Amino acid sequence: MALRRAVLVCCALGCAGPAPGDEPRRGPGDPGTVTLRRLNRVEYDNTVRDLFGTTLSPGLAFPDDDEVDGFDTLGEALSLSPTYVARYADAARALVDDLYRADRASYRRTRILHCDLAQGGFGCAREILAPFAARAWRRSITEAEVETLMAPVHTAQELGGSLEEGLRASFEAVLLSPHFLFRVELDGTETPHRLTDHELASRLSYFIWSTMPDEALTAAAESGQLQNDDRLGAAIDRLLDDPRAERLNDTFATRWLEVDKLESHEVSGRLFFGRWSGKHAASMKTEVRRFFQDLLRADRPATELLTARSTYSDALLASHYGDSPRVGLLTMGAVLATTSFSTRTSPVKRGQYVLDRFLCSPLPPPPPDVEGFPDAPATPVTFREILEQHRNKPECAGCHRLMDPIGLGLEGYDAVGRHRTTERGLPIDTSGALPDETSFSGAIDLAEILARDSRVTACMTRKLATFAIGRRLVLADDDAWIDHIAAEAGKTGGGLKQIIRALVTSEAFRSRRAGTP
Amino acid sequence: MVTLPALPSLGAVCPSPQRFVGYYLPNGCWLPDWVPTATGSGDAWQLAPGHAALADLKSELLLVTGLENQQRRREFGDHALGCGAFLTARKPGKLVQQTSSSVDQVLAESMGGCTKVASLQLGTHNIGPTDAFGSYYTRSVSWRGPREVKGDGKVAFPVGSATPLYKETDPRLAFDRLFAGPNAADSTREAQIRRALRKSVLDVVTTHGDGLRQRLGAEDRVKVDQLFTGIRELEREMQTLPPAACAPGPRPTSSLGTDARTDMMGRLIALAFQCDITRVATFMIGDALNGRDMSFLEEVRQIGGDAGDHAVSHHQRRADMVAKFRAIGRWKVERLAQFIRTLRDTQDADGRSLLDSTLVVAGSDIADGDSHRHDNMPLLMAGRLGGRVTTNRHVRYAQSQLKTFGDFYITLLGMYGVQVDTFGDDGKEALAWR
Repeated sequence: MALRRAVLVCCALGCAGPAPGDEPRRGPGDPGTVTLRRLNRVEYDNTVRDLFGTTLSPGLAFPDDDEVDGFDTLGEALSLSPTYVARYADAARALVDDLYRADRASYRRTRILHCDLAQGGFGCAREILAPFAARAWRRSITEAEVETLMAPVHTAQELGGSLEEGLRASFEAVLLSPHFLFRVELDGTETPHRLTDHELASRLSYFIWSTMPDEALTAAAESGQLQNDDRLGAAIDRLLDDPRAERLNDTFATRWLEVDKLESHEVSGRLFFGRWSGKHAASMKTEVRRFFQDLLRADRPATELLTARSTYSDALLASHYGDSPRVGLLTMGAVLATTSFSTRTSPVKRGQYVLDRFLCSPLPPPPPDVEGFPDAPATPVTFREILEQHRNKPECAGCHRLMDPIGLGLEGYDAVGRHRTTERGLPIDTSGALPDETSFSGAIDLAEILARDSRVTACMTRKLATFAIGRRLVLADDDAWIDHIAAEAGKTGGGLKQIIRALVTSEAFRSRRAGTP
Repeated sequence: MVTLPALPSLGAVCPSPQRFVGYYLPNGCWLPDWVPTATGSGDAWQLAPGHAALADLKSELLLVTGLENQQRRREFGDHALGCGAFLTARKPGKLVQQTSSSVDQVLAESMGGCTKVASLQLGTHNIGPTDAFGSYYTRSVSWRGPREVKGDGKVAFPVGSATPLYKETDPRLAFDRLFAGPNAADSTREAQIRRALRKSVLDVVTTHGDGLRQRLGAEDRVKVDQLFTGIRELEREMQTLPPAACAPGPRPTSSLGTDARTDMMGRLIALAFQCDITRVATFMIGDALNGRDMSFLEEVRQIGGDAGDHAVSHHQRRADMVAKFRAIGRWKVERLAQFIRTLRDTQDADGRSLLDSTLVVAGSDIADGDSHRHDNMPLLMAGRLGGRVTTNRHVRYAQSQLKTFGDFYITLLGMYGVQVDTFGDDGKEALAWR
């Protein structure tokens, strides 16, 4: 019955009959309009490395990419100014020079320059440019497009220059073309509609590897295999098992957790002398990266991000942590420091962080003209007492009753993530109760309770989807889409890989809605 | 409807230069250090204590105080909101690149075609904290937005999809963009072929863009158009002959100390003005909300404790924090003073000081660093703009008058020959500050 309905739907869309496994999954979710995404600096560097086999990283000289919701993969935020375009032109020239500097017999040169221009003339130039442009633009290209790329070769000849000079310029044109710099997805007449095979391959590859599709994925796209759920699933698994999937640690995980800029986090040198340094920041960030990578590789559920034990503290961190109890991300130095001020912890910031990053239930910012806390109150009081006064104010209570208990539960760790039992000489009480009246005692208990909240898995899925699809999830259908992915993943154990698989195979990921004409 | 700006006609008859610099100082200031106690001109007013470094330049200065910029629309995200509004006088769209053209871009467009580089954006770093509005608002003060020509020939700059102009933070790269590159005057055959090939590359790419634009939705076209605006500017830079008498000197190195690097950026602006490579520049001595470690300043180091630019700006009126905040403010003003001196001491083509034909407008995202208000904003000008500006004055508007940056910019644009009736969110009438 399901299959028959699928056939009817499919025929109504005007396509040929489906092969087994091809049933369109009309799961919930509006693909929404994803604004044209240009490659960000990281994607640019990874892509030219795969394309040329170069060791250059021209993207390092590009301006930083703007972020929305913490990620630098959202089309709406990725803009271009003339300075950036000038940098693209410099990069294109440098990459082509680098190719021609490579050893004549090297694979990375002969792979691209595979015929002798002196003998083969224009024909050879075409044979070089056609496959190169197809790889660079991540799709099949037309004869007419190859002809446009030949223009510099003709110009060179007309002016009495060498064909090689012309071909070099043609390579630059490939790299300055919008087809290379943007991840182009086109709209047909119908909306929403499925992505083409090549468009889907690019979405998948840039999501997991942060680079262009490799030969195997391109071949799978070429032969239409990605329309088949099982084949698509196999492609996802292959990408996830590849070392390049570790890039998700930096492209996704550290950004989601806001620890990507930990090295420039402000910590008071006066108060934390000897207990904070660039090395501490680096060790803490490594701990987060490896922890995430390990859970992803082992396909563990998202909730274990809060409850699994970390085994990645190096010698520096081991002595920083001492033998204090630690479990999951909430007790990692990177998270504890990121959510603190330079001189002290902030239970409010930590509470807000957990609500925003793990439960996707951020609170509105405080109204203007709200007074901050005195940094050093005249008489010693604990934050708990200060915050309790605060919660007595009706205009503050609504939000602070949600944030404060969580933050106070983490008060057993200072602003650089070390364990402590007192604050300014007063003992710290880390017990509390969540708004639903579940009581807890201390950070480990709190993490266990938070992990039972179904929002944790949905939230991580939402962050992944935002990062992967490249738009803010603000549509009416987005919640249903995310819940659908989490439920689908749950059927096969709910591990991180299953979430990624369910996300990529969901209808909304594989489709596109046209923007305003 | 988004349209690409037309390629300016080269060799157009250009008036003698009027120059503009927008100079941005992040994280507000200690107001008593910025606002002189007396108003008036000449000896009637004296510099505020934080402006001691400007003492030798007093005759070139004009302070306008008491203006507000977005005080009535403030919300969480003051730094981004204020930095985005510095030269636009408009509250930016939250987490969308939506605002109107900044004054520097309005001016650059009005001078289109007269110089090799339409406008220059320089800074000291690119940190760009998000601050609830988007990182583009904390690290860019220059924005290109829509432009409308009205029936009476006046122009307007409505809010719409806008492009943040990234700033250059490496003096060597900035130098190369201005002074290196293909030399349009080189007439050897090799140079001609090189130029023809570069042109051919840009032509190919333009063809691709034209084909693609027709198949994209409006939001996507904005992005592709940004690429082609850049391509057109590259084309123009390539075709424009460098002025005959232009000796930029040696390339700066990328590894300079903080002071030297900051001052070098100022020198590059002066050189670009002197060579008439551009007439419009903006400079950011730090991004809004940035936490740059300021302990390279002796006074900050000696007091100890927090040294982050933003952390210290929240001085909470504590004596040690205020002392550090004032020291950081003085350092920024010293660098500004050094830049103004460089303009003063650099000769224009007619032998006069560059400062005579320039107007520098310096300001911040907020007023006081701790209270985050957007009224009584710091605003300092230097230069005479060919005699259009009368300097050595302090003009004060009572805050009760609710005069805004928008009003201020209407007057400013008029002095450059750009007539507008409104500007930004609040600009409705020209102020007589000049």
